[in-house]
Amino acid sequence: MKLWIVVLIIGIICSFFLSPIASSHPDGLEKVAEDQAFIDRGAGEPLINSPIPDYTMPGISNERWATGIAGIVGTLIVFAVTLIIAKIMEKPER
Amino acid sequence: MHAPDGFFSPAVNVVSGAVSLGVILYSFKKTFKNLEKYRVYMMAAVGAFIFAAQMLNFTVSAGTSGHFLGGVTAGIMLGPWAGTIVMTTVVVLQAIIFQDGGIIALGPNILNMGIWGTLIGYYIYASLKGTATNLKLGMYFGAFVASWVAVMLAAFFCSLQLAISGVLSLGELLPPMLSVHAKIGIGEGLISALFIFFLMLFEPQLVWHDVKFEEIKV
Repeated sequence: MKLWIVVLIIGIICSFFLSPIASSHPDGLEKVAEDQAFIDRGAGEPLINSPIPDYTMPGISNERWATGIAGIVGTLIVFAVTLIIAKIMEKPER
Repeated sequence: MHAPDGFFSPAVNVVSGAVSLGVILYSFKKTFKNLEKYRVYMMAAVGAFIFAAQMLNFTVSAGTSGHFLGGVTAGIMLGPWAGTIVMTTVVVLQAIIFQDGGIIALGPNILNMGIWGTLIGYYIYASLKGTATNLKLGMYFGAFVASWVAVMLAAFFCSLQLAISGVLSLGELLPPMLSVHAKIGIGEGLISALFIFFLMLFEPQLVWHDVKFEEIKV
């Protein structure tokens, strides 16, 4: 099996199976922002409406599934977009 | 580490954005029509892996988590220039699709999470990997140290950008930011080293290297 397929499968496993059990604590920056009381600076209306805000697939009530599906969708979108860019970057055959 | 809009002042967003844009354009110039055919799919898969791994927050201390950034991993797998393009793609898509990190704050966020790791982190890795008696061990050691430093650099520059934005003084920001990211950096280092270890078991020639492949000894 080609190595890129292995890497993609690891990504899919991480995003679908592991992301629902990831820690839900605030990350380092968020935690410092909460402790130092400047988290509200980021509380304004978002500039654009993201289709899958906060890695939660809209319309799915089960939290684990909503996160897992958001993860796998995101992983495949990143794969597709990066592939298009990589194709443009590809060295032409002589 | 994804800062929402509002954390940084307009001046910080503009200056960081200009630096990021400059590095991204240079990375495109270095990579354009220069990416080996066998790396095309690997580049996309590395992007997908980094996105996925960034979702996996791990608890570092009571009530606080951290997550993988991946800049050093991208640099090791693809070299610093294609690595920068991959990291930029990930951070931009996170902001647009998942509302993770602000849109105006993309400049500083790309700089912190995508560029310090792929550029400085990569060169730390590249200079450390030859110091061990065994090149493979040197790679794992270099990946670990470079990843830890990359996370600390990200935390340092994020604090600096917040301080210049007038949020708090650097003296108030640096101690909590650096102490929590010193722990997150250990996670980053372990994931990077493990990922490289795993890939070296399969196809070591796919790991970017500026030394001849024959020099890699078991």
